[in-house]
Amino acid sequence: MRNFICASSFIFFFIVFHAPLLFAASNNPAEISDLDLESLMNVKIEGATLEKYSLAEAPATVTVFTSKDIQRIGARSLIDVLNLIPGLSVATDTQGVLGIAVRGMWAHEGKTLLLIDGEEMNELSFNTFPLGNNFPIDTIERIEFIKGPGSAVHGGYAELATINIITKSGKEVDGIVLNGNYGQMQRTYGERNGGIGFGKSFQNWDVSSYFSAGEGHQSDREYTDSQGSKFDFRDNGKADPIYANLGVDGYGLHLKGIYTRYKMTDRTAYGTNTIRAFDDVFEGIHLGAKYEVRPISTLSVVPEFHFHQNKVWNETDDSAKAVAQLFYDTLVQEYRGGISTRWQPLQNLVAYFGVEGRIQNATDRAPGSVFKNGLTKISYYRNAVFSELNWNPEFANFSAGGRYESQNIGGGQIVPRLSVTKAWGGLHSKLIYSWGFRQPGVENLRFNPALKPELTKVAEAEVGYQWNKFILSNLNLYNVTLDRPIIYNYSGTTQSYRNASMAGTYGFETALLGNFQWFDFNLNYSYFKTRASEPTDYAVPDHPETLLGMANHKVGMNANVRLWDQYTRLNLSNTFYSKRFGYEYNAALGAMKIKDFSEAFLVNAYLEREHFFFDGLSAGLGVFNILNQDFRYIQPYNGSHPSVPSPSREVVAKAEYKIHL
Amino acid sequence: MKNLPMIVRVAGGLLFVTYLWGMAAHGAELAASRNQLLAAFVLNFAKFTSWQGAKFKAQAEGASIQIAVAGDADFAEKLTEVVKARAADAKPSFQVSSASMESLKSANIVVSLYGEEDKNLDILKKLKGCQCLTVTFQEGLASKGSVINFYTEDDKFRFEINLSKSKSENLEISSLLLKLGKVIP
Repeated sequence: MRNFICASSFIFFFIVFHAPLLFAASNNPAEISDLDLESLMNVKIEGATLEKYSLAEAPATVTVFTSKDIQRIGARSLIDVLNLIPGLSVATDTQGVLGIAVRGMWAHEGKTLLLIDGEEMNELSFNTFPLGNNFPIDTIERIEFIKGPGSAVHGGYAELATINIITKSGKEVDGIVLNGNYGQMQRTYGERNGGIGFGKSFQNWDVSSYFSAGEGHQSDREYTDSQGSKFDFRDNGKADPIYANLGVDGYGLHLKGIYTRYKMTDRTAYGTNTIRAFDDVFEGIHLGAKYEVRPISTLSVVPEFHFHQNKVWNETDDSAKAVAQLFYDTLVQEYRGGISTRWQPLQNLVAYFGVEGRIQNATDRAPGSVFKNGLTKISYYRNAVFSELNWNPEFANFSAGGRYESQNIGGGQIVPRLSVTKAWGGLHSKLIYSWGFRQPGVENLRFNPALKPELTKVAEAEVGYQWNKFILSNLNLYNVTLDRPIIYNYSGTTQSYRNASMAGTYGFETALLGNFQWFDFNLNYSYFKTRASEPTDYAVPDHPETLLGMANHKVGMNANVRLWDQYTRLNLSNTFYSKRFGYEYNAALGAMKIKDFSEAFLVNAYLEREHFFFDGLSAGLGVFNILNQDFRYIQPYNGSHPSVPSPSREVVAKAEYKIHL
Repeated sequence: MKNLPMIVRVAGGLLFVTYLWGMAAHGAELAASRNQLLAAFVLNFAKFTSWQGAKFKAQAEGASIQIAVAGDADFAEKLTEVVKARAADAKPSFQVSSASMESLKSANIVVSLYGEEDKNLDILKKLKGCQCLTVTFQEGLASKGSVINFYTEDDKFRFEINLSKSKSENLEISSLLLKLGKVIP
């Protein structure tokens, strides 16, 4: 296996670094300018400037993936993209649900905000979003991964990171799009999804719609629970999504409706296998409206309103009633409204100000189950005021702002945000100090009404250099401290939440990006180390430098090579995770015991062809997890749940057909 | 090779067939860098635009068409390179200038490529009435005062033309340009 890994790495680097020599060619500038206008309309743009360059002065650590990037790597889901971003990883919660970790911290529950077209996708009970065969990846125009607190701007869920997804507009679709993907793991299919979209821009109106549905399996491997009992994920780990997105934009009006339904089947429960798999449904309805008014040219006022309804971990199967803590049927509705303003009194001075209020109404529909108030209904209120001032004189860009948010039970919290950024030619630097917070969610407060908001303080410094038109490198140092972190625990019989004293990590992320005419690449490395006082729930015995489920070292490599023409590209990627620790069933001991999971190489290859036979058809074929590594998603806290398996080697085919109208 | 699972061998075969299929389906097609292509478009626009007043006079007398670039030094450099690479007797001739406000106002074509919309809008506001063919590359700017605004579609450049703005700046845009672009009344 070691020889195979060495050989694979050699081939990977050989292709990456020799591709320009193999395919070097260029067009003479004079020849292009001699073309007439009609011919120019048919020339493709190549080697577009890296999106990342324009982010050199952004007051945040941002990684951008465009639809083109997603298409080229052949991503099956958000997880394939997350694997390539330094500092981000995936771990498991309870009942086989996968969530995100940021810079070594478990960031699944209320610590990462997921936005799709401006709508908050975090569910309203625990404030999570399940990863996997969920949220269709091929309808995305652009994803921004923003590390560091965004609470001052976005509120409570953006404590450690924000994932901002922008889907394709009507103008970008300009007709009808049909897409589908099929993945075959070694023992069953990984996913088989299909979607149809329509989009069109009419005068000043833009209309977009997309619907998709599918089926999938979380894995095809075997799983062993905390008692040593086994089952096969092939027969018990379904992951079936339904998704719809409708948007209308025009004359400053923005209307959005999103429906998501993600049905998993699960036997893992809280670490002890159930007798059979139960359906576990996550369903959300998101409606939003906002309208931009410009009373004067320097002032913009945007009133907005959003409605959000969720059912999560919804298990209403009658036989689930027999299993303690599995039958769950809570409906939460949220009404959110606010007004934000943008005022630019001077060319280099912009001020933002806004107010926001939200009401959450939860209804417990499970027979005999009530909230802490003894009733089946409970309401929470949150109000917030936020402001930010951006001053951009010649010598630097300054940003200062903050947010105050209060909840009728959890209490109030103020979070400031300060940043200084500057770019000099190819060099850029950033200094950011920001706070974030997490208001306890509906279900957190059900278990413990005395919970206080947790508070995150992040200091970051970034320096980057654009060596020439094609190469960019950057280095980011960070220090994350969580005060009063809200910790979930499952003792084997009961669930609980509490405020611990402190948690945190520090480390760095570095990346080298290249964008040539014939190939582009991204090499990145991230490292974290644990701060001193960790809650015991996250700690690894005898390894104070790390945390459960987290790899201290992560290397992401991605290279995309243009082949014989601009429509055919080969993508090679590899993610390396260093050794991780988690609790697993130990047969000799007959109980759960800490175990070290060896290093993992997740190597993928994907071949993509645009204009496949005829205009409008794109197709791709790839192999994911080529080395067939038994990569496990580990529970990042000591909650009695063993690790869950990931897909085995998977052959993936994708196709998209666009009809311009 | 014999040790590889069947599914990998099948996938490898499919990859190879896809390559061959793809090769057969399409030959090599022309592509250019963003700045190279943008420069070619801008030079072409001059052929399909007529200026009035002093700028008309200079155009009629065969003087160089002045192009000023703001907000993107790399593009200015590429445009200068493309202009220099043209044949010495090629007509019309062009001169690329720096981004001072004076040079912007006296130019025939002003290309404003700032990343920030505010900066582009500021340029457009200051150039109002200067009879310049303003060219931008930012969503929505055609309806906010730019005469020609680029956008991309399927990795190709497309452009929209603000017809009323071109008329208010006394510019005559040829029918071919109007046919190829998306006209905003």
